[in-house]
Amino acid sequence: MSQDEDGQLVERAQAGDLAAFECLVRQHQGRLYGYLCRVSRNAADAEEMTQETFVKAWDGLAGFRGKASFKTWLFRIATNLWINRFSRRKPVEPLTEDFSAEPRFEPAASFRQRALGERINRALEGLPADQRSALVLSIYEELSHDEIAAAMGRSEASVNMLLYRARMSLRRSLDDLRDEAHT
Amino acid sequence: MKCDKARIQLAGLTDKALSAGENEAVRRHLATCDECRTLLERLRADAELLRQEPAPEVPAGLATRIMAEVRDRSARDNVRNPGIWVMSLATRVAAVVLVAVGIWLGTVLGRGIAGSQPSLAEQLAAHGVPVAGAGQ
Repeated sequence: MSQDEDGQLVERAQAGDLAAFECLVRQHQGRLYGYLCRVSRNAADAEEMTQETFVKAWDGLAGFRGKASFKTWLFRIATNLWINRFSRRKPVEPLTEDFSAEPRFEPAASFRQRALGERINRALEGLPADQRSALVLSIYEELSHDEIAAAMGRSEASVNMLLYRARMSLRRSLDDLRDEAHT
Repeated sequence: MKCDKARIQLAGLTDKALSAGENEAVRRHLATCDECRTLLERLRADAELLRQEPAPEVPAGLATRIMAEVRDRSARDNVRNPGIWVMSLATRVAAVVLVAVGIWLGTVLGRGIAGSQPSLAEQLAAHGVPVAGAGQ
């Protein structure tokens, strides 16, 4: 869906049109849920935060002026929710949940996917919430640095530094995990 | 460009987020620095590894659950502020009607008073109060 189509739906939703808002939910739920799953590494948390993001978006729709795209605005709400939740969270056991709702892979492939998921979990776990967000928005969502800056309420220079630190930490973690796997 | 600065720019290079000038400067450095070139290859390989993880599947019925909550909140807001838009429209219409009726009444009554009652000067003259120009 183009930004223009989003814009028209947003205008209708701002006038109270629930069907238009539902179109926006169906259009953006996949990316938003994917983003929140990848940063939180927890499917149940991601589902709850996706729901909360859209409810907050509905409540705040009158204040949306279209300076950033609707997608970026949703990522901004979701990022704030995630970072607040992460900062309140007590340390928990590493999450190894398989994100796929149904097993879609052959046993060998599934094993490889689980091993990969576990490796990524452990690598991302070591990152602070803001670095994790910037990295996921960059690598998976393929947002540009200025879009990431808008989604995180940061300057572009600060995003460049976050991404540099995140990628270097990830680099070290993946090296450590590879060494562990080889010993 | 030194390695420290070049490394900070590598993420930007990987994401194609550098300006033409920055891009050129980093590429010039990479052409002469094996260590930074190796690091860039590793950073790209790390990103590729992460991208191999399958996209999470959206839980069935998520949009329906979201909309149920949105509809619920919307309905509750309407109960708290019943027909806020209708009410405000009705209030505006009522205000316009009241002002119009006020102006109309003022005009009609004003004309009636002016037509049926003697002027102040005439009333004063009738009570023997000398008023300049009255009764002439």
